[in-house]
Amino acid sequence: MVKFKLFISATLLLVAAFFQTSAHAQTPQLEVELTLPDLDVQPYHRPYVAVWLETPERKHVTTLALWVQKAEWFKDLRQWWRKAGKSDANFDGISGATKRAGTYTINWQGNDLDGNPVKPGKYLLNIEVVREEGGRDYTRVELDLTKSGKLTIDGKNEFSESFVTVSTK
Amino acid sequence: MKINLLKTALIGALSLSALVSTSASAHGRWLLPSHTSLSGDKAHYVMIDASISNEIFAPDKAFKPKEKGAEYDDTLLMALAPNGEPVSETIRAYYLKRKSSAAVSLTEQGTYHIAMTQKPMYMTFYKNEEGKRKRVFGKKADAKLPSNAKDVTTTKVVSTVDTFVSRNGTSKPALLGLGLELSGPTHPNDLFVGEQARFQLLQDGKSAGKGIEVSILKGDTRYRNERGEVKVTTDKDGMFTITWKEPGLYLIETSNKVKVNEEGVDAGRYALFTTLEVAPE
Repeated sequence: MVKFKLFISATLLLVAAFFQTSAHAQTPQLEVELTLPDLDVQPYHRPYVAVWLETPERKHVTTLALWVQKAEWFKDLRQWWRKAGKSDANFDGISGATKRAGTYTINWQGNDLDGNPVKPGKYLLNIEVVREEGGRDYTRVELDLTKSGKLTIDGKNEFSESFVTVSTK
Repeated sequence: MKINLLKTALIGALSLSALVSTSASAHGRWLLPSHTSLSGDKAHYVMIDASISNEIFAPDKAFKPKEKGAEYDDTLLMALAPNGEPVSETIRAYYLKRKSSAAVSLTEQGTYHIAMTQKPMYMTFYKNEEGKRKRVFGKKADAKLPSNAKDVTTTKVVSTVDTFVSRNGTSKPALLGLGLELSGPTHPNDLFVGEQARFQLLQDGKSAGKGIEVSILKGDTRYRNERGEVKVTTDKDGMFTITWKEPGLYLIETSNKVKVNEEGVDAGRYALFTTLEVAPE
């Protein structure tokens, strides 16, 4: 069923590409500027972080960033694990090591994990940060990928004021 | 003096009715899994504690091993693997006075349905010479009854005590197919605060039907003054819904009276005790 849907959307895109050879269909892009706060705690373990998109019905679309170490603790990114992690998807392209406190920019060029463009529309952006012997922060915001704009989001403890910028071109 | 006697009689009557209702609803019994969701490449163990207790998830009485004095019970627990087959490895439950503990090895990807092995239990009720209600184990033909026992009835009791654990993903949990148990559409290892869960209550693998009361009780009852049980009732398809307000471990409890077509058995009662974990959002 999933494959069938993918096939349809691929076909549609192909048709769209055929009729709009020069004028590109809108390609949404995202920039997430995420700040992991400098916490004065001992011991400090670098947090596991996941940033991903879901449909308004909360189906995983693609993961933008995954900063992790051991698969054993993936489950602690509870929401990411249930929606994305436990699937067969390959996250190699977007995963990396955990990071120290600081501000990081995550750029997303509008493709899913298989490299297929994600169609413009409304999505849910999810940010989940969980730290061993520390807390967990989870935020979900609605995004309209057809409209350029900037959003400010704030975590409680595990991430600080961060920014999400949507640009269409 | 007369007043005192009356009081005693009243207390006697009260405690008798308390006894009767207790025997009808039995004690809480539960499995407590160390984890309900696991990730990682290596095979996992999950610890399962089992106890009979009304203080939910605080152990009180262990299930007695088959041979009195044995340190463990190889027949206490079973686990259905994601493929629906019982795991071949023996699950050894250690008898620890107030609880039994077992390690269950999970090697496959998906959901394991872990349950106490179900042996139907027969209980025979009767009234003795003084008209007191008594209870013995066994069917009336096998039970040792006084010759003048009256109102003798035998009830078949099947209790399901179970939980679910998923490793590296969830799969449709295998059904026990006997007694009461929960089925989807909501996956028992995908429960989050603020979300509505929808379950179907099954009796011998089929919808248990309408009007069965299901109690939903959050654990750690020791640390609050009110038990705060939520009661819901199954609809015509045996379905019920619950929206989780707090994260934690929950005990889902229900029972169902059914007709039993067995010689010498007058009534059947099925009970269910399912442990579920709800994650914070």
